[in-house]
Amino acid sequence: MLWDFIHSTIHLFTDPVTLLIFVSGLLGGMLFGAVPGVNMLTLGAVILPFTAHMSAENAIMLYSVIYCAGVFGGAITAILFNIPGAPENAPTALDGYPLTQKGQAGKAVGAAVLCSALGGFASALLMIVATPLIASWAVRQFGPPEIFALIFFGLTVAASVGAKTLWKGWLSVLLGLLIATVGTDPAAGYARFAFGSYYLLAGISFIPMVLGFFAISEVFIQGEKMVTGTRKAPKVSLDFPSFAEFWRLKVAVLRSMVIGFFAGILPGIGAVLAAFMSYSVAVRWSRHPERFGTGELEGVVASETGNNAATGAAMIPLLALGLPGGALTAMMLGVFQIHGMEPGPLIFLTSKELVWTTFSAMLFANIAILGLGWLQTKTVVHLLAVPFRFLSPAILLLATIGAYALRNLIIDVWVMFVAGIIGYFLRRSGYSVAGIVLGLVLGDLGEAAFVKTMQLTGYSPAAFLARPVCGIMVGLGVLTLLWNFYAELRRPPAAAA
Amino acid sequence: MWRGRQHLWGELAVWLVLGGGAYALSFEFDEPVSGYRFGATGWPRAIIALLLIVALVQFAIRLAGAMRAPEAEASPRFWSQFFSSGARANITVALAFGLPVLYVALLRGTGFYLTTPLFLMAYLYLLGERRWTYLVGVALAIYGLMVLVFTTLLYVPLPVGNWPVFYDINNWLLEAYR
Repeated sequence: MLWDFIHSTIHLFTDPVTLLIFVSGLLGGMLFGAVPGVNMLTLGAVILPFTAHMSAENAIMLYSVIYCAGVFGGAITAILFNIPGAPENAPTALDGYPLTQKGQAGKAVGAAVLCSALGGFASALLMIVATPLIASWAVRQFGPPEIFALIFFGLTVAASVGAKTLWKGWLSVLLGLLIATVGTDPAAGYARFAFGSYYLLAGISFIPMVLGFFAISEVFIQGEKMVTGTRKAPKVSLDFPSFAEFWRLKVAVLRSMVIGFFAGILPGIGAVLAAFMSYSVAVRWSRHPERFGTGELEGVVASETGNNAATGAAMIPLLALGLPGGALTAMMLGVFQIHGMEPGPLIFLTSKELVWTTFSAMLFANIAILGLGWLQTKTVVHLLAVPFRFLSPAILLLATIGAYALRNLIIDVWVMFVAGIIGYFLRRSGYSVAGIVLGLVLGDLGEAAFVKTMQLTGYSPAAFLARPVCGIMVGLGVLTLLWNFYAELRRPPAAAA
Repeated sequence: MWRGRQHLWGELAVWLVLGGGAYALSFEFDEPVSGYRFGATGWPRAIIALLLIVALVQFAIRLAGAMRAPEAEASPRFWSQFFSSGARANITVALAFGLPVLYVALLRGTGFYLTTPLFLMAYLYLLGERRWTYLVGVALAIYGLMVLVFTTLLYVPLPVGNWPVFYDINNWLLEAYR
């Protein structure tokens, strides 16, 4: 194993074509990850036809590097401007942007860089060591009932994040779940709340909603503060988190690595849920949950460790079982097909070099993120020195193009602005846009898992709870729910307003 | 009970209208599904029921809290600030919302390449920039950067408008940029 790794690493750094592809994937992934609308999936889709001219090793390696760099890239704009470059960076904005407003942008970006690299590195190491073993275990243990139970637990925690009260948190999550029902039902494909619109039949697109709720509502809020003369410009800072600060967060980092890794393995779960789950669990186990959403470094750490830990893990079911866990890994499956190959257990015997080049590239991509991210911290943060009246039209325009470029539809831009206006009023009234977004992300997945669970268990709650993972997840969810109700009812009336 | 606590009733009304409206609309797809007992309406109606319950619980708790401690449920700062701001500031805030909406409404007809610089200048003016060199310079800098990245480098097909003259001008600009 060690020799395979050394051999592939030497090949990666000595073959000029392979090295060029590695560096291009790294820079392209970071760039596309940071620009809203044109994320790493856009890049993956654009280059897919060109991979036919590369060797299979280089093509798969390129996608794996784009995956690592793309998941990290979106954190920078999420922290500096409240614009998550990709949905998996949405929870990063929850505490990253308030840290920027407090004048600690450098610290937030620094933590994101360190944790992205750490999460990705650990995930890549685990991937190298345990791919076949973990893949078969996870895929056997996690069926629709377990996914539904996991989502239930995630939602109970999410309702307590970011909103002024638990009730507002739940209403935010339920609003997100309700929006997610627009489209077609997963059991029979009946149109729901589509009003005869072809566009709505596919459901409301997620990226314009995220851009609206986060970026547009923020521009409106800051614009209003400028007009009324109450806005305070954030200070520019370039300080990385100190070792002591980072050491205090070691448990959050380790916990998020584990959550991200397992979320990454499960097909259909991926980096988005990994980030939200890591963030939610960090809130759940924190001694100061009230600080989350106001600029808590642990929030950035949890989210960025979680989403990057999912990248290496997502390769496990793809390589070991031929199961893509998300859109980018599905594109990789396309690359395999272009080259007349089939991923699965045999790939470790038939295409050993491909597997080890991918492993090695992902490991070194995460190390490179550390260096490039450090450079970004020292440079990009200076954008904050630009007056907001110059930045805000640029943000509006960037978000508009991002929403439009997704499918070349003006209606996506309308969805973004409507979400922005609703988000503005909800945020000003103490509701949580993060809760809405999480409800939106988990709604489709949750309903599909629920339908299959009911069919599998014959509508029997007992059969559902008899499955160990389901029992534990539902139990944790119910405990969280009860604890949150208890805590809420004990709050003084002034705080509950 | 009503006076000073209109926002509580207002918030409840919004949730009730949303939940009630969604419930009424759910009858449009209330069809049985073979192999799935709850049908297409089961999941959305469960969410609607929970939403209405939580909205009512929130209202009851906040109302009870307001009766015990009236100052706790006074109109939130946001709304009181809004109504106490001058008419000029409120109009400017409304314009800050309205201008981007107008821009999007015009995009389909007048196209991206022609409308965007004007929108940028108008928005900068609205946010307080009065120096014409900055108005033009910053607007053109943002516009140029976006065009360079999205049109010249990434070939993103941005709207070119569908009103006759605007369509021609936008296409001419697009050719020039590429």
